[in-house]
Amino acid sequence: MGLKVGDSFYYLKRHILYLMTGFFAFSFALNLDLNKLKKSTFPVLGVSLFLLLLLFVPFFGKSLGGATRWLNFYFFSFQPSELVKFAMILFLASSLSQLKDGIKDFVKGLLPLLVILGVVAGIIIKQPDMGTALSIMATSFLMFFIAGARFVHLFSIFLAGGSAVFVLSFFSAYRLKRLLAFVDPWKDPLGIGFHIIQSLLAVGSGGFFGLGLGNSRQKFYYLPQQYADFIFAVLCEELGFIGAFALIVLFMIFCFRGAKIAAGAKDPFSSLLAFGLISMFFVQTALNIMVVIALIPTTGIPLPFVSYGGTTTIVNLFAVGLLANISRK
Amino acid sequence: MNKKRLKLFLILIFVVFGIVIIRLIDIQIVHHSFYKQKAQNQRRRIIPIAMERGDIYDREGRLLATSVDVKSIYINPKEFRDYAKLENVLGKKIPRFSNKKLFAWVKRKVDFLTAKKIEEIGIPGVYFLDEKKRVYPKGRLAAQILGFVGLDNEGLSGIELGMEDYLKGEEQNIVTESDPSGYELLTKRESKKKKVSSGSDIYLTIDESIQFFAERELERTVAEYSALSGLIIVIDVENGEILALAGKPDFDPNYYAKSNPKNWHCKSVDIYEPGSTFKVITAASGLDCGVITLDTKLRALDQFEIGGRVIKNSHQINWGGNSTVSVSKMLEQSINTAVAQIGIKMGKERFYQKIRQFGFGDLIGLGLPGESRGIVKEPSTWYAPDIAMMTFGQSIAVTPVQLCAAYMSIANDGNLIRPQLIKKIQNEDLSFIKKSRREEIGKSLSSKAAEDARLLLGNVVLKGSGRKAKIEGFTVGGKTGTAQKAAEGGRGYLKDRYIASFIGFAPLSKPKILALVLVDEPKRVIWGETVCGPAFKNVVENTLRYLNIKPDNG
Repeated sequence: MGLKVGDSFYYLKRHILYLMTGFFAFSFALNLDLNKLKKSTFPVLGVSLFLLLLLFVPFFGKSLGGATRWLNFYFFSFQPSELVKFAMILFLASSLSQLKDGIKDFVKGLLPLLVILGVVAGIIIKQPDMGTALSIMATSFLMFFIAGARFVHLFSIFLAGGSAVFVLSFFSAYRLKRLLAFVDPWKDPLGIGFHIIQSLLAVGSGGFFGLGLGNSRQKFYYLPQQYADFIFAVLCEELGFIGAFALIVLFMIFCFRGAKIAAGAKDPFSSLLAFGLISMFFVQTALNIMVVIALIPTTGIPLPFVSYGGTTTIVNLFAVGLLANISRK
Repeated sequence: MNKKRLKLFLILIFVVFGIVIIRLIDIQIVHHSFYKQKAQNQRRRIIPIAMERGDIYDREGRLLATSVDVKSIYINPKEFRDYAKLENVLGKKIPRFSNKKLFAWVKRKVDFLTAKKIEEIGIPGVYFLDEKKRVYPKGRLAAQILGFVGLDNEGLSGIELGMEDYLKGEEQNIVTESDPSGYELLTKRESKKKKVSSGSDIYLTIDESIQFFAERELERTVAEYSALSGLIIVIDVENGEILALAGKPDFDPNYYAKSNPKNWHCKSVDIYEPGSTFKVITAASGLDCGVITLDTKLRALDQFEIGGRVIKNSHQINWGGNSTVSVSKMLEQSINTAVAQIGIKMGKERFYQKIRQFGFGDLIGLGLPGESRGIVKEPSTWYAPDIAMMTFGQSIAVTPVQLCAAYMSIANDGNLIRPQLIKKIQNEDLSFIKKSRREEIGKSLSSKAAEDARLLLGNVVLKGSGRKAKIEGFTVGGKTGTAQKAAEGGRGYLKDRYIASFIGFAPLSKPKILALVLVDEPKRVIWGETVCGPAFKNVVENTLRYLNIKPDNG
């Protein structure tokens, strides 16, 4: 764990720095010319894929917790998959808006997009980062759906994707463990079930009103990634059901507002872009929370706007800037 | 944008978050206490705080058991590499520990020289922990009474075990919360008890000097007759305080692990069949019930039959041509057939009541572990010969301390006094938890019957089988016993295996000291008078002179 001993404000200080950077990203996105953005789809996708592949070059890739997800530069590290998320949404918004009803054709419409999605997701899975791959796939799926793809196609993709994830789980020891732990965490409470159980204990001990802000006990190394992927468990413990409920309501309002922006956007590209971005927030929020309360097996996805993390905060604020931009027009 | 599909998307959001909220209600509200309890339990660490164990002293405050500071060596296998070096200093092999471990004992409670040597060499990964070690400065003296403690200073035998609750002090647990590696969390500490106190000091009624006489006499006696074991009890008749409680063979509690476990236990609270020493109890009971007087004549019989069993004498009695024998003569010569007649005269119920009034069948509560209450059968379960056999101490099991208490009541005009081993229990702050005092627990005899019984006991020493117990300058009363050993677990008696004993007190005119000498399976000579008489005489004489008791006989 990257905890600097002796500075209890280590994460807070870093996060404030990210927020400040994120504010610039937000302002930049707010004033971006959307037409120019549409035209730069391929460069953005290209650069982000290049950065993604750079992870596999030993000098640049930085490993943490058994996965190589960060690019190491001299004074900061950077998570390319966060950028790829945005690049994919941009790419799909642009392609789908051009395809229009062509999406209904499987071979000419959907298939090429699926191939690109498959390649991108495949590279990310290889890092390995199942959580990000999963959210990119789910977001893309929602975009195909809103763009008008046929139900039969969507259903087939869902089945194929679902079984692919399932099969992949059996090829990786740690994914299989997570799956087994999900099925029965109490079978091995100190081994594979540890994280799930600790998360449930945190959520459960919060009760209705919570232990009070800052009073979490479980955050002291019982919870994995208590400041990142499992932040929601700490929130549940400290703020109780009331706090968790309020946060979910806020996310729902945010999603509805986003959907309204998508529905009211001037052109198909902006509309699809807004929808893609809001889907991304929805997918990530839902997956993160469902992991914490053990509705789905453990996979590493940050909770938007709540989890600690540099790249994710900046990219999220950039996305909010874009949404505001679209809303304004 | 397809409005219908957007609506479906919004429904999806509702459904997903709806499920999440239902799940949260289930975890946070419905099953709240389950998870809360589990979370609390895994963080709880109960840290017992070792209190300093109380010391044990004799009645005069002479130290018998105490605790000293020692060092224990442990290593952190993660940091520790130089096994050879440490093995060299310690002179013993150290098991190779996994370097994943953070803690492993190497040697507990080493002496200061070794600890200092290792500290000076300074081997990385080797650490010391201050601990307390129990020591018994007088070695074997009173070992069976004191007992010993285990590695964690918990009482395992003797007073150390019997009085553990006082010696170890109030148990103090600190309850803390900690993270999975055991580091304490900065939450409030809850202590179960407010006041921390060390163990209390215990002062025994034992007098180190008298104990020493008794042990020396007993050791000599047991060796002389190649006996299995022996026991001497010396009691202050006036208040029931046990001045000496010697058992041989014994052990050195400083090295108890190297000794024979058979020698650890003090037999003073174990049961045995008292044999002829019990005849005095029968005679006194008969006098008290009025079924006999000092003038009563009992029939002179070599044997008689009762309930299909022949009651015989243990040796040929010289009746001197008389057809009767006096009560006094019965005791002097220890005649089974005569004493049995007293029991039969009393009848089952009355005899049983008297036996119970002497304290047999009741716990005394000395403070030693494993004390027995004896075996006194209910009259309804007696076999026909029992009424005869019990009069001379068979078919009944008592503890040596109970027998002492019964004799003590004869010396005390029929007042049953509780024998005591604990003089006082003193707290850290010098306040007393307990102070022994004379404690009357019953009345066994009328004072007239007790006086008559003392006369009879005096006659046994003057003219009878107790002559070897005579002490110059003092009048002595007592009784011998040569009991066949009862077969363990089964019925019947072991051939040629005896417990020889002598019990009595002095001075007879104003009893002060009572002593019981008991020798298990003496070889060559079996008679209580020969085996135990001299030891009784020496111990009691020494004790009387040590206590400056005025001679009452010339």
